[in-house]
Amino acid sequence: MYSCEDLLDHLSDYLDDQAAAEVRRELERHLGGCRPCKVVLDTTSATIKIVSGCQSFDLPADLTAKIMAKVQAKGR
Amino acid sequence: MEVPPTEAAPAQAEAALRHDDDAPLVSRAQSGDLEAFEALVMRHGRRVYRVLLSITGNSADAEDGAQNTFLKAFQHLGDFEGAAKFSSWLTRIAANEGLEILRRRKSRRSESLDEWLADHEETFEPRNHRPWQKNPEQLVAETQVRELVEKEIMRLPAKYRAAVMLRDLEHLSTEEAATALGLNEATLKTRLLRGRLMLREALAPHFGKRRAQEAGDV
Repeated sequence: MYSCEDLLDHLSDYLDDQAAAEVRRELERHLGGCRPCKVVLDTTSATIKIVSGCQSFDLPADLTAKIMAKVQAKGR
Repeated sequence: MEVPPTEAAPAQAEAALRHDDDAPLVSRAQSGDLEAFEALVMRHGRRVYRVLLSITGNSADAEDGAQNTFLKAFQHLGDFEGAAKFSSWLTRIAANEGLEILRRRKSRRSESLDEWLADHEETFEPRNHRPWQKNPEQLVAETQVRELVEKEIMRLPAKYRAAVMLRDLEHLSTEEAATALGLNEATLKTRLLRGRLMLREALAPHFGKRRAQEAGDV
C-alpha cells in the first residue's frame, strides 16, 4: 500500500501521464482513502493548467527590433 | 559560454532538417537573408525570452540575454547542420546564456550559479490541504490571476522556476527541458516537482475554499 510520501515521489509522473500502470493503480488506491493527498493532487494539477493557460511573460514589445538592430550592427 | 556543439554527420543532419519546420528559413538565413532571420526571431523570440527569464529571474537580464542569444545564433548559423531541431539548438544557446549571467553574479547568492548547481534538493512537504474554490479554466479567465501567477513564478528559486517554465509554460518534454538546462532527467524531474509544489502552496491562499465552504462539501 502506497504512503503519502510515495504519492509525492510519483506525483509529477502521474500528472504527466508518465507513471507505469502498476504505479498508477497503487496511487489511485491511496488517493481513494487519503483526502489530503487527493487535494494536493487536484490542486497541483490545477496549478499546471493555470500556468499552461495563462500565457504569461509576453515578449517585450520592442525586443525583436532591438535584437535585429544588434544582429545588423555586430552580426558579421 | 560556447554555443553547444550538437551537430552530427551530414547524412543525419539532412534527415533531421527535413523534419524541422524552420529548415527553409534557416537555409535562407544561412545565405545571409536577414528577413528570414527576423522571421526566426519572431517565431522563437518568446521562448528564448522566457528561458532567459526563467533562469535569471530578471526582465532586464532576460532582454539582454535574448539579444546575445540571437546574435550568437546568427554568428554560428553556418555551423548549424540540423542534427538537432533549430528550436532545440536555439533553446540550448539561450539556457547557456542564462547560466552565464548567473555565473557573473557573484554577490547575489540566492540567484547565483552556486544555488543553481547545488545537488541537494530540499524536501518540500505540502502544508495547505484545502480544496480550491474554482476550476482552473475559471481561474485562467480572470485577468488578475495571470499577474498573480507571474509574480509567484518569479518568486521561486531559479532552478525550480526554470523547470516549471520550460515544462509547464513552454511545454518542452522532460528530455528537451533537461537537455536545454544541462541536467539529467532525474534532476529535472525532482526540480519540477519541487517547483510545482512550491507554486501550488503559494497560490493556495488565494484560491482555497473558506472553511465554511469546505464544510459544505462534506
